[in-house]
Amino acid sequence: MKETTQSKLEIRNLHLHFGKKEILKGISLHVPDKAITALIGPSGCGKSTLLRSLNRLHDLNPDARLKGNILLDGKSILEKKKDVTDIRRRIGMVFQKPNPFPKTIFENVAYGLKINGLHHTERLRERVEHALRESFLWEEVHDQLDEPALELSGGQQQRLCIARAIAVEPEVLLMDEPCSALDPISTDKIEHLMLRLRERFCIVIVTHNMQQAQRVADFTAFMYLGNLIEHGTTAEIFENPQQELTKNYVSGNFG
Amino acid sequence: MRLLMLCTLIVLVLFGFIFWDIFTKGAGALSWEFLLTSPRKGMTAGGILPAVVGTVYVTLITAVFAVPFGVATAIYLNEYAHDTSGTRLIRAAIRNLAGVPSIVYGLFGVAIFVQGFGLGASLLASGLTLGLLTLPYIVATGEEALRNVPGSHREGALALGATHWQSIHSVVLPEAMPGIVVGALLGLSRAAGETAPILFTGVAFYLRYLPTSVWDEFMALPYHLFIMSTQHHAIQEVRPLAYGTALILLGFVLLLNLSAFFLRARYRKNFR
Amino acid sequence: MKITAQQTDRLAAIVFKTAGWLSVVVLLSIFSMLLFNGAKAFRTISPVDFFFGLNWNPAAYGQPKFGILSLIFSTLLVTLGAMLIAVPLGIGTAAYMAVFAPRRVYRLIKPVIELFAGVPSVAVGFAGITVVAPAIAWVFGLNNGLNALNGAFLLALMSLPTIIIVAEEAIRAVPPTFQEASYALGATPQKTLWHVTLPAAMSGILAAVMLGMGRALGETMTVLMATGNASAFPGGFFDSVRTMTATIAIELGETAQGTAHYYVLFAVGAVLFGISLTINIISEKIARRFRYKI
Repeated sequence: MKETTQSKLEIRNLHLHFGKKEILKGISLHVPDKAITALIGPSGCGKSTLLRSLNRLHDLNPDARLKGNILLDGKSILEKKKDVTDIRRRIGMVFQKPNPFPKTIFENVAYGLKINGLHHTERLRERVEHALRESFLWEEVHDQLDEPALELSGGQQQRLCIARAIAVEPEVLLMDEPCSALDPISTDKIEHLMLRLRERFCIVIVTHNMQQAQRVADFTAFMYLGNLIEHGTTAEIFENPQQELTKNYVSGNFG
Repeated sequence: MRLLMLCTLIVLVLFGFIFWDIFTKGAGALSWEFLLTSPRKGMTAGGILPAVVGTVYVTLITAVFAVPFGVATAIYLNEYAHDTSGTRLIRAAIRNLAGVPSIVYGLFGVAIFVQGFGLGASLLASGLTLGLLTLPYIVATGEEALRNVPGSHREGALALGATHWQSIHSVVLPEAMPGIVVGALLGLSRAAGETAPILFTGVAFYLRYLPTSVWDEFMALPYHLFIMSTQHHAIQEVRPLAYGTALILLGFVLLLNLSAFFLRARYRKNFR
Repeated sequence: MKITAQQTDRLAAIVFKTAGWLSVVVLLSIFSMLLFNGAKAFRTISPVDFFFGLNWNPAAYGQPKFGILSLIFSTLLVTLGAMLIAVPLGIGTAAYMAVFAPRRVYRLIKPVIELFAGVPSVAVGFAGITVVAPAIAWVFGLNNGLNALNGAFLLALMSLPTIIIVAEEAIRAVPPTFQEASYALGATPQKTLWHVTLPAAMSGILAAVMLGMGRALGETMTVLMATGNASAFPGGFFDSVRTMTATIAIELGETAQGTAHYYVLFAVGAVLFGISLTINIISEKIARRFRYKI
């Protein structure tokens, strides 16, 4: 349905080993800009692992070995000499469980800006407010910016984490099952938020929830046991899958 | 049930009695003169100022040495070192060194600091010896405090483009700080009350002057109490002074302990 | 701006790595120094005389005796005596605190025990001289109470906080479902404690006892002040004893550096180090098993 969008991220034959175990077995995927791509598949299929590779979070694990390539705007992000912090700033991430820092609401959103060298108070305020408005959180928290973030509800915390991620204005936003720890109402708010953020970012979301994928995603990729089985528009994957495996999964026969 | 209550009661009575004995009898010896003057007349009169000052100095030197090194080691082990057999060995070594008898540290201090490095019997040699004694404890408690910081907070910082050090410095350390401080206070309170490690590395029986540099010998509360209760020529006569010394020593050490407990309690409440 | 952040990052990594390895080197050097200096003792003294000699008499004219057995035996006597007192009291208290104590009472007891854990050993030794020794002398009709029993009693006090705190944690770690299952079968709280809770917590309790023992074994000032320090081979709890720790404390100050006596004291230190290391390792092994079980 969006044939014209150009690809923002390109994953080329990506292999990932943890020690001797091969977790990703040669994944190739084009991720278009200004659209939501959902990664679905049963637990342990490697979808979260793939997502974390895009943010190079596996750098922390000495056992992890990556082969293949990941291109952002046509340039590799896996080269060792490439500045990993710069890549992570351009590719933001929201985690499965809300993980606000035990600081104030303001400090949480300002954190990414400060470590990137923005210390001007007035500019900080503007950027924080902007990010909170973008995340539909400003109305709820504007009079308690100096309260601890941990006092917010789970759904608010997750939106705060989204605000924190988009405050540094990344190009790509990775979301690892962002609603799995939330109730239906909070989930609904976050899905609305995603649909709006889609206009500005390239979003990749890992989800267990197939209804959610259908509600928000433009494209869907189905993974199974470390392989990418099928990739297409969400409508294609759910209504007219080409592979037997995909068909079985999306119709709820396993998973 | 009755038996268990009896056990508890016995333990409490024993502990309570020792506290009570020292507090009541020690209180009788307290005065400004006791706190602020030096011993006189062959230590049968006067105060304990040099011992108080010496203990404070040596504890400070211990802190200067053990806290930065201990915390840095904890940061290395928990934030930088990967879980290999090498780091596991280091951790095991540190845990076991925390249980080594303090007199063994005294032996080490004599051989290495006093004689080997030629520091002589001095505040510096004693402070370094006590620092070694405290180091494993500070590393262990520091590591525990760092371990309690959820990994998701580190990842959250990294995912925003923080460098490794930025994530430690601006997210991990502030969160772990109360735990680190509690560990350091408890470790230092232990060092302040130790006698065996300073016995041959710098503490003196009696000094007319306060120490003026780290090369000087010093008097210390625990050693002074030891002297006043076992080595003095008129032990019965100076018993009130010994009680007073015991009270001040206990007060100093328990103050460090209590501030650690207080901090820990407040910090726990903040997080719930 | 960004370049500085990278440089700081690299610098921090180097600083922490250096600090980490430096403290490891320093701590390991303690161990090697002890062995090195201790080994020098055997240039003049036969290891057989050291390890199997019954007499410790470094000042004997012409023929000093450095038999460590009397020191080891003294140490064991007071340590085991201390455990006889502290283990039942400590486990009883821990069980009461973990299972039965009402919240209000618990909040009163716990700080007292934690505070007592911080009391310097010299203060406990002082209490031994002023309170416990006279009491022992009075009860048993002795001239003075500065003997092994006094030392054992005081070391029991010193190791009690460790035993209580660790054992209480172990008992608390027993999953409540165990106890509920027992209650559901109609068992009384006492029966449940004896037959379910304590056995389930056994390895943790053992680890607590070992840790307490390690603490008692390594105590210097308490035994130095309160046991009389006669270096003869002790006959029982009413004899004055001189432990390994006290021997080092008394004699290191009087020996010239480089003499046989000086190095023998390091050998004693090495033996002491070895014993406490063994106890530590055993208690760690036990504690690990306990962690896996729960």
